[in-house]
Amino acid sequence: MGNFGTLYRFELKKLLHRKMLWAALAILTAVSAFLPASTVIGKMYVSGDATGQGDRWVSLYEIVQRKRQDPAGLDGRVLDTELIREAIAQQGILVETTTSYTDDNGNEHSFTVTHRDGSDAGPWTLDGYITDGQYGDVYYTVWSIVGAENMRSDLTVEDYYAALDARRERNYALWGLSDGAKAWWDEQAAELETPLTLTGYPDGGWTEIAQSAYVVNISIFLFAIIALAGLWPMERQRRTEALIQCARYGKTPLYAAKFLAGLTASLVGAVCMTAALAGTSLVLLGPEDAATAVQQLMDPAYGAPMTVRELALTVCGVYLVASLVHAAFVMAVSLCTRGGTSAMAVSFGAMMLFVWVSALPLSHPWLSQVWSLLPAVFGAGGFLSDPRLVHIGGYLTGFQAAPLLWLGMTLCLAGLAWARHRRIPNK
Amino acid sequence: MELVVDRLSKQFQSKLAVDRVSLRLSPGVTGLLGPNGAGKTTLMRLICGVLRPTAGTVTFDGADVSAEDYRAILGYLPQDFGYYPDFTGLDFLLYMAALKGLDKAAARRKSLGLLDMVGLGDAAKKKVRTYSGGMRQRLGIAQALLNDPKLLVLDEPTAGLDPRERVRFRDLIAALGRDSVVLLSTHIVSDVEHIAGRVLIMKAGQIVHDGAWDAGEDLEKFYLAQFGGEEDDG
Repeated sequence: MGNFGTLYRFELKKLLHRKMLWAALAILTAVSAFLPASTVIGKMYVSGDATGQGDRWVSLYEIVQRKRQDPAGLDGRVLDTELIREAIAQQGILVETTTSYTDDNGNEHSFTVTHRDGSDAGPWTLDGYITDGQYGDVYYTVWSIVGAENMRSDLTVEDYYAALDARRERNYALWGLSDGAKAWWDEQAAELETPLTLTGYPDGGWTEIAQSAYVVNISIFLFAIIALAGLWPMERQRRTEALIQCARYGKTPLYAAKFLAGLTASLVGAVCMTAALAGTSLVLLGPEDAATAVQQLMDPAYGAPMTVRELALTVCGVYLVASLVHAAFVMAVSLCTRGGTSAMAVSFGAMMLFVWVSALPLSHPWLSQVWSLLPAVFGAGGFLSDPRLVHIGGYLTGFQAAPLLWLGMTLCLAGLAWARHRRIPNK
Repeated sequence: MELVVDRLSKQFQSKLAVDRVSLRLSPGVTGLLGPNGAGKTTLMRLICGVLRPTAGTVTFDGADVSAEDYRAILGYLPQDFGYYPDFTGLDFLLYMAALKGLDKAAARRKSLGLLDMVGLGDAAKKKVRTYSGGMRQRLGIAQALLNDPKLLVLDEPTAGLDPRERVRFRDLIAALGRDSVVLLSTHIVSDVEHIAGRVLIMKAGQIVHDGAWDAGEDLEKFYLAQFGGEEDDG
C-alpha cells in the first residue's frame, strides 16, 4: 500500500504530539503501579503476650516480607493426610460457639461466633507477627474445599479429594456445562499428578499481577478513550481534513496508517501499565513462583497445569490483546460520531456499562457466556472459576478463546470503521 | 487534458449552493469570481472531492473525482485550512508528499525545492505554529504543488500575502497555467484580470458569465455590472 510506512510514522508522530495522551499515560501508569503498593501501605497493631509485652505497630510491608518466608519449610512436601493434620494442628480447628442472651425487654437473642480452637502456635501470630503461619496456605486451601465444619483433626487426604470431586460436580451443574465440556474437564483433572506437591510461595507478586490485571485492563480501555477518541475528529477540528481527502493516498492508505497507529498507541500504553503493575508487584511482594496444582483442581478453569508466574504472564498477554479491541472500538466510535467529545462520551458510557454489568444471569447461558468473553468484562468477578468452554472444533478455555475472539472483533471493528470512513465526504 | 463538470449540484438542507453547473476547463488559468455565498468554495470543494455532490459528475480526462487517479493529478489549496502545529514546515510537506504518493527521495527533494521557492527555506525546520499567517499561506501553496498537479484548484491563494509576494505568486500561477488546468478563485479582481484567460462569474449557485477575457478590458467594471452595482462584500 502506497507510502504506508511513512504515513504510519507521521500518524504516530501526530498522536505523540497530543499532550492529553501523555497525561493519561502518566496518570494511569502511576495508578497501575500503585495497585500492589496499596496492599503494603499501612500498619497493623500486633498483640504480644498476655502481659502486654511485645505489643507494637507493624507495617504491612514488614508482614508481607515475613509471610514470604513462611512456606519455605513446606517446599516439596506432598499434600497428604499427615500434612493436612499438621496444618490443622498449627492453625487450629474452627469451632462455632452460639451464645444466647435476653435483653431488657425479655426478648431472646443469640449469635454465633466462629473461632479457632486448639492451635499449637497461636492462630494469628508467629514470632510476634501477624501471618497465616507456615501452614496457612495449605490450611486455607483445604478449608475452602472441605468447608469449615469439616476441618477436624481426623480429616484425611481422601476426604479432601472426595470434596474436590464433589465441588467439581457442583461447578459443572452451576455453570450448566454440557456433557462434552464435563468430559474435557474430567480429562484435565485426571492428568494432574496426585498426590499434589507443594512448591513455592503462592501469594507473591505474580499472584498480585494476575489478580490486579483486570483493573489495568480497564485502565487501558480508559487510556484508549482519552488518547484515541479524537483521532479522526482532530483532522476536522484542525481543518486539515480537506487536504487529506483530496490527496491520492488520503483514503485507504491513510485510514490503514491511522488505524494501525491507534492500535500501536493502545498496545504501548498497555505494555507501560502492565510493566508498572508487574514491577511494583514483584519488588514489593516478591518474585517467588509457585505451582498451582492445588488450585487447578479447586478451580478447574485453570485448564493446563501452570505456575502462578505462567498464569500471570498469560493473563497479561490476554489483556494486551484486549488493548487492541479497546482501541479499535474507540476509533470506530470516533469515526461514527465524527466528534471527539461525543466519541469520548459514547466510549466511556460503554466502558461503564461493561464494568457495572460484569455478568449476565446464567439462566441465559449463551448470552451470559458471550458477555463474559467481552474484553472489558473478561476477568471481572473472578474468571478463574468460570469453567465454560468454547466449542470450535475442539474445546477452548476462556483464556484461549478470548484472544482469538478479540482479534476477530478488532478486524470487524476495523471493517466497520473503514465502511464509515469511506462515506467521508458524506455531506 | 480536460476537466469536465456536468450538471453539478449541491444542496445543503434548504439552500441550493451549486445549481446544475456544467463546465469544461482546458489548460490555462480560469478565474472564478462571485460575491460571498455565491457558491465558489462549494464548487471548488466538489471539484476536489472534498464534498459529495447532490447530483452531477466531475471527471478529469475520464477519471471520476472519487478515483485515486483523479486525486493523483490534483493540487488543492483550500480557502480555510489548518496545519499540524507541532510539525515543522518540512515535516508538513513530507507528510503531504507521502499522502500524494511521492517516494521518500522525491518527497524530500521536492519539499526542499518548494520551500525555497515560496521563501521558506530558512524556516523549514521551524514548527508551523511559529509561522506567520503569510508564511502559512505560502506553505499551503507549496503543498498544493508537491505532485506537479495537472489540475490545480486555488481558493484565495494570495489572501494574507503582502503585495510583493502577491505579485510573485500571481506570476507563478500564470506559469503553472501553461501546462495545467488552473481554477483560481479570488476576491482580488485584478489578480484574475492579469493572469486568467477565462473568467467564470457565479451568482446564487449558477455560472452567470463564462468567457475568455482580454487583459485590456476593465474586469472590475464588468464584474460589478453583473450584479447591478451590488458590491462584493468579501
